[in-house]
Amino acid sequence: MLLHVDRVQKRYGPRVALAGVSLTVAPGETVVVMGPSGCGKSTLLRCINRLTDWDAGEIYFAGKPIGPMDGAAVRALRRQMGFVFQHFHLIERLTVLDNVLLGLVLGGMPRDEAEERAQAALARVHLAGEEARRPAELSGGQRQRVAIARALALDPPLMLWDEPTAALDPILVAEVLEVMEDLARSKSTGMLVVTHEVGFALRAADRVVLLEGGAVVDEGPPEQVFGRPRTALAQRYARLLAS
Amino acid sequence: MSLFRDAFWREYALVVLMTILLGAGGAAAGASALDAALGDAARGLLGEAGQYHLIVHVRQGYRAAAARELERLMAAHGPAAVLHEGVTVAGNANFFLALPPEQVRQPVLEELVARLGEVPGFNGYTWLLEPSLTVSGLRPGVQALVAREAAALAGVRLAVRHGSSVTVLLESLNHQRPVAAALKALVEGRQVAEVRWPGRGEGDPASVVAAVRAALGPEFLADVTSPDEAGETRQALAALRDWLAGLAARVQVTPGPGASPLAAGERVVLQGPAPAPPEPGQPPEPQHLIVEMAAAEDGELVGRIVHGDFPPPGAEPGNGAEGELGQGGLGAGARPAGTAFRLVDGVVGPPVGEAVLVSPRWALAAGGGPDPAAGQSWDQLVQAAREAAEQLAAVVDLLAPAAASADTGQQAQRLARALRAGDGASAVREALLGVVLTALLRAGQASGDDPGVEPAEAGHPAGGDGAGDRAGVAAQLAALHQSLTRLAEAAEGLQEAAGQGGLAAVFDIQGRLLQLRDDELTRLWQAVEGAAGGPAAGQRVELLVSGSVPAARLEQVVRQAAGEEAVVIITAAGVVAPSPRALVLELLQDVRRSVAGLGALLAAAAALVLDHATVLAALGRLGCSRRAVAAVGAGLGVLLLGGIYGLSGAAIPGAGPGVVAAAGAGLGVAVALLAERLSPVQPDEIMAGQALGLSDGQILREIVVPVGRPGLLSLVNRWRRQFR
Repeated sequence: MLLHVDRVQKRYGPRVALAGVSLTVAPGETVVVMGPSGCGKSTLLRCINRLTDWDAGEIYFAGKPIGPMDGAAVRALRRQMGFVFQHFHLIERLTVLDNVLLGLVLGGMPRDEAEERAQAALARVHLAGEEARRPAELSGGQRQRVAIARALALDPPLMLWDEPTAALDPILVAEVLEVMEDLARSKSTGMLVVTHEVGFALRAADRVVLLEGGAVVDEGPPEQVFGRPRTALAQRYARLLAS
Repeated sequence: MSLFRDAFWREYALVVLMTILLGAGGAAAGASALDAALGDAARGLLGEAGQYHLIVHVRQGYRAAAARELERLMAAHGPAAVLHEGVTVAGNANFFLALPPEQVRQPVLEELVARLGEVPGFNGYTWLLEPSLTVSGLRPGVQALVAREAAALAGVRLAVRHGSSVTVLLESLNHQRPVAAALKALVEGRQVAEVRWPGRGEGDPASVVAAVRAALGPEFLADVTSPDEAGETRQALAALRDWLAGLAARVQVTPGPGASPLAAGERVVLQGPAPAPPEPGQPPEPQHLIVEMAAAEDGELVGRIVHGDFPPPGAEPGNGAEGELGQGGLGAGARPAGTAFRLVDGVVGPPVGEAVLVSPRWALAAGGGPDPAAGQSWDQLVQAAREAAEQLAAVVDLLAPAAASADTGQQAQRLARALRAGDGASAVREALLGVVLTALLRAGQASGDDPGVEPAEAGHPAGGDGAGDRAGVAAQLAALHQSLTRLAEAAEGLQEAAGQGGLAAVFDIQGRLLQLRDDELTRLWQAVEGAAGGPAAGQRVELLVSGSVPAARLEQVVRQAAGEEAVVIITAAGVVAPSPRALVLELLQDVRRSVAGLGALLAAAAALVLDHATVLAALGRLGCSRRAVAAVGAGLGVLLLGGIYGLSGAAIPGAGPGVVAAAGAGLGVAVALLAERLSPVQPDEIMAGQALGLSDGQILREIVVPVGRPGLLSLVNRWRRQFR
């Protein structure tokens, strides 16, 4: 198992963000996490990336618990997890290419090799030729694809997606979802995707995990979760899908 | 130390160090530039250290005349002596004097300043001896002692006295500290107890000295009563007081039968020039005389006219008008003044007796002998002048009367002019010499050297033959010489007693004397008595005592010995101060240090805002708690401000190391708390860097600092930054 989240709990003061969440992601598997806003989806991703500490439970990556990791080990862990944020989080002062190169070069990769890999990643998200541009010059979809390329360039075994299309207008959502579906189909990397895109889940997910109130309320292949909804949340998504 | 494995943090430490060094250098340079500018101004004002020895201050209006006199004075010190006219400050022209090195000796310096009184418009002087220290606030007796002791100290080249100070010229600047310490020990280890008695003859200085010596034992150091202090000024004031007392009208009241005796402080009313005597039950008339009774030295009551004027003989009507001066055996200037009435609550009361008025000034005006209570010098002067006049008249009669009269009259006018001009004893002597020479010439003519003059024809009352006449002339001349010499001596004595210009003042007073009212004269006498002639005229003693004796105990001991009437003043023996130049330089040094302190504060604040606010803001986004960030800010502030402040040589008065550290910490905390506002960072970008597995240092170097405020950190950060 590539990722194993084992009964992780997280509170922000009195508010429960994660109430003993457990899930797994196998290598090359695409797992879509869905749920209403505030149900703990983004917190779960940040815990997995060690951007946020959790209160109880454990998270295992490649069989190793990541809770005890510190310093260099955490940084090494992060380099094995590409993270795509909702709001892109590009470095505005750098070019498209430099944004993609940043993690590679500073991670110790020789510049030439890093550039080759960056160019390949940009080509994979259909941004070849845009290397010299700066984020401010790009559309939202392009910016998010740069962010995807930046994560992809690390060639991570696992990619974490935090609502990658939520900040995009509907016209631009498709180009991002296309890239994501390509990646999912390639099975080159495990993907844990937090999204509200039911269609994407149905088309690309191997499994769907429904979170509500910080807890997993349903889990299974998308056809099962949405085809035979067992919870009210699943029924809402099924209706959305049907419409 | 694991922090410094990251190159960024090593460079960050380097930036902090560079900030301290550059900040200190900048603060010190700025302060030094100001110091240099101010130093130039000071040098312009005071000259280079050691270039001049003395500044002579002269009133601006006398500048040209003073320059000529100073040139003359300095010419006596050889061609190497320098006189330079400096700037005029506050109405004072300043002349800078330098003596040849071999003449920089105590006697030469003291003689030079002693002669500065001859400079027109002289208004003081300031020593510029360098390097030097000044001990000021010294009593005359202590001054001589300190001057002797200071001159004997190692590292002291000479000690000169001036005013109430001693300026100590050092052999080199290296001796400043030890000599200053030694001088401080000299003066601060001692105190002066001054005792004054308000009236003449009331104190017994010798017994006080003996009593204090016995009480304090070895802690009594010396009797430092200055002979000068008891000399000219006090004697002059006493002479003036007594002289005025002798000239003011006095009233003696002989109690009538049944009248209650008068007491000191009571007032009586006399008719004076009023047409009618005082009427009991009525207020005194304006022309009535009001007399205040006071206890005289012999215990009898003597009255002084405090309102009204004793009218000139023959001018007054009514009561006492019939009394001529000296009438009835009362003596010159004395006459009956009628019935004296007690003054009660501003109203004329019952008669208390018969009054006699004594007015020496009217006796003088009338040609009577001056009152014996008047100053002895005045007596001498008047008597000598009278004798000289008589002798002169005899000589004039003896010699060729017409020509001699004219010459002698001219000489007399010269004498009078000289006296009135206050030109001092030398002028008196010069004029009198002229008189004598004239007389001798006439004597020679009379003795037959000039055949055109026949003494016998002069109608000398002695008559007789030529030899007899010549003997008579010789005797007259001898008498004349003696009288004139006495006159000159008396004039000199009076001048010394009254001080510079006093003789002129005395003669001026003489001229005005007859115009003064009696009550005015009384008030003048009282003013001198109260302001200066009282205590000043009394005796005084100054005792040098060890500083280990508490002031309260010393005062108690001295008071016991001197009596309750004595005024006892305990003061420090003196104060050690740097030279005027050193004071100015010390002031400039203070300014420089303060400016450096302000520069250090500015440099530290600038560095914190421009460089470190960025880092502090980023630390908050990299997981450090707010408290930890504030602590880092405080540490940075202490390091930066303390380092810059210390290395720049800054010293703000009242800001010790603790204050500076607290200020640095406060500044650092403030910057830490406001870091996000002072230097905003992009949290999304920082999170992206974290998600990419970058270290904090890499995030700061590649993401945060490049978009932070421009500063030394961003400059240094460029060297190793990989993404331009």
